[in-house]
Amino acid sequence: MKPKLAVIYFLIIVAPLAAVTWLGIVVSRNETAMVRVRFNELMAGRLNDIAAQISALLEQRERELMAQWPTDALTAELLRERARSSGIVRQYFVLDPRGTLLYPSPAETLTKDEQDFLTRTRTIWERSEIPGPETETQAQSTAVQQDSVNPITQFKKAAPPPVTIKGWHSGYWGSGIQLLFWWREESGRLVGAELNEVRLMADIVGLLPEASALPDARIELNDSQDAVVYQWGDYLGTEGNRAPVQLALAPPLGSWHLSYIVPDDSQGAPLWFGMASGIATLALACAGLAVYFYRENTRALREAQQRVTFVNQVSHELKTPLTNIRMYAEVLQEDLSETDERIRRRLDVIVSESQRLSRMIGNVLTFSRNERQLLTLHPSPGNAGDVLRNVASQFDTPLRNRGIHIDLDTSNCRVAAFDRDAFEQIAGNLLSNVEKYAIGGDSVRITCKQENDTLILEVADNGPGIPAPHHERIFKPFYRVSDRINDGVAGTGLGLTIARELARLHGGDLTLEPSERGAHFKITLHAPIHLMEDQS
Amino acid sequence: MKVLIAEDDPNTREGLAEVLQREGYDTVCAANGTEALDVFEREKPDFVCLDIMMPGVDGYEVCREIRRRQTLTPIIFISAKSEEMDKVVGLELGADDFIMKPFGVREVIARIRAVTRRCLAARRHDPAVESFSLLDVEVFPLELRARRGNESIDLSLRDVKILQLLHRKSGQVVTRNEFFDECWGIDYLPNSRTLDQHISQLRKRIERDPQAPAIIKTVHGVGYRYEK
Repeated sequence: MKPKLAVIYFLIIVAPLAAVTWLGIVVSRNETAMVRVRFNELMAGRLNDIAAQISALLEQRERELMAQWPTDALTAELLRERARSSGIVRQYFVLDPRGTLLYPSPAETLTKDEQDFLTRTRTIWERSEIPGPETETQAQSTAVQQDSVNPITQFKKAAPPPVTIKGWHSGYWGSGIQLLFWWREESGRLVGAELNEVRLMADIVGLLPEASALPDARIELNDSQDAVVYQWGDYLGTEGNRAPVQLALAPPLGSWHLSYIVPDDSQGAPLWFGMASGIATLALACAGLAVYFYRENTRALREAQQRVTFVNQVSHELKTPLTNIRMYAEVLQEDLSETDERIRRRLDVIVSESQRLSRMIGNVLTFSRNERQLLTLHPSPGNAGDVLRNVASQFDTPLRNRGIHIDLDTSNCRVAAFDRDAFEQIAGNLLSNVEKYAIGGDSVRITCKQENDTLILEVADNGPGIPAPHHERIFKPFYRVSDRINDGVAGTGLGLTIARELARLHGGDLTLEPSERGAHFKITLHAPIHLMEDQS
Repeated sequence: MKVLIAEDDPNTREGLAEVLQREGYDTVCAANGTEALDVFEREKPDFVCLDIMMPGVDGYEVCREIRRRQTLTPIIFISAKSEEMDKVVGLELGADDFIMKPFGVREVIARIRAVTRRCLAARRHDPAVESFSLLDVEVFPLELRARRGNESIDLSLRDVKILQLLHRKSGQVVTRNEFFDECWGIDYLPNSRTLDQHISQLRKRIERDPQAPAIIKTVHGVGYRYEK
């Protein structure tokens, strides 16, 4: 394949692919960002739902605790009994309006559970953390977003003003969470309960899905120390994780949060896959197109080559019969040189026509060789005058038949190195043009001379000449001043092309010289004078 | 001088043989490469005209085999193959010239004369090829050429033989049969018209006035004579 063609085919494939890839990347980035936004919104919504369920569970606990609170006279025994029978309460407590702990009172005899409770809650009572300063307002739930692309902050809507003054206290004891719910009675007494942590966790986990349609992700419920309390989803990887959406739970579990975990390369992958698929499809289409054009091109070239080969083959096959026709006609011409004029004339026609056919075949084959860059010269010592006399003798009869006289001057020719066959073909083509186009003329002057290392041949007729617009075009392949087949002039339009090509190959040129009448061609060939000149 | 013509096309082969015989050469023919090598071995020709494309052993192979036998016999390829590479291969194999079909008789003759001059150059010490004069015409057999003043005259091998015979028998009548025996060879069927035509053509080239010949004079009914 030619380099130029290879570059074109390369561009056919690469240029569209590069453009599409660039557009694809831009679109993909935008699309990925948009997908992430929507995805995060979706996941934030899902996490909000879960957080709301957990909040609802705690509100239900509030209602249950307040409903289960004994309305009859409170006794330590009664509260112990209630705590033992309740699955959700670990320990009840009662404070007087001034905040003094009435139950379990350190001043009284306590059970082990009550003593442990006091141990767990000592700092709370010492610092009077119950009731807290914000006891009469609902706590806020804040979404914590760590995704740099699309920060999402979820705000829990403000609850309606509380009817009852109540509140939660959350803290940690050991490795577990410690949740205390309290409310103030109309009497001013503050009562409350420490929730059973295990039961609460079980209830919270019971709210969460056991399995999830999360093929490439998982949701974690994390405590304040980021430890996983519970998780669900199929993705269990720990390397290269991203948590595009995190949501803090509402108080009293405000230090806990929900995290949506995905692999770092997720979300964009399907889009990249789609884009890569599209580019691959386009690449295949472009490659297919290039292959199609390449095959069409090579088929056209092959057919052209076959036509050239066919012409070559035919021309080649014509050579032997033409050789025989020409040779026998020329021999017969010598035999009948002194016979009937009419017979000799007919024979002259056979000879001149076979010579014309030889020139035509020679031109076709020379042109074909030149097209394939196979045209080379073989200079050898010789006298251009001898060649010209031979060529002129071939044209003597046909030109005489057209009333054209040959005036040949080779007196200044010397033995020089030139390609005899090429020079003969040049001269033959020029004289053939005189025969065909110098209609109305009566002479052609052929002069040949040697000037230093340059052989100069001039062929000038006095026919109608060549119109100015055609002066340069006549040297183009297949160009004829008149292309009409019925104008009575034969020819392929190759003669001057080949003559000029051979002259240039010979280090010279073929030009059309200005002339008052007729066509005047000048050929120069680089032909060094041979040192061992003819001794004649 | 004997020429081997190896050519598979019978018409070309016979035509070439006739052209060469007219020029004064003896010819032997072969229709293929194998036959060409046999004839070459048997006849020992002075030079060979060889077609490239022949059935069986081709011209290249024949040329290679002739050169392998270490003979310097000149070889001219005559072929329809005209590609550059064909010529190069032929010349590389040791051929002396390459004539492309379709060729004209004059071209073949010119090239064969050139090869003949090279053949004759090897015999430059042979008295038979010494130059001689017929009145104001000087004949150079080695160069197949004659000269009158500054004018150079191309001669065929047969022309040279005729002029040599006339010079050798200067003052005597040379009969038609003598001409045929010495200049045409024993295989040639005598034809008075052929001789007369040849002498006529020769006179046109060497006589100052062909209508009143001074060198080749006609002896009616017998033959021709040269007188100093």
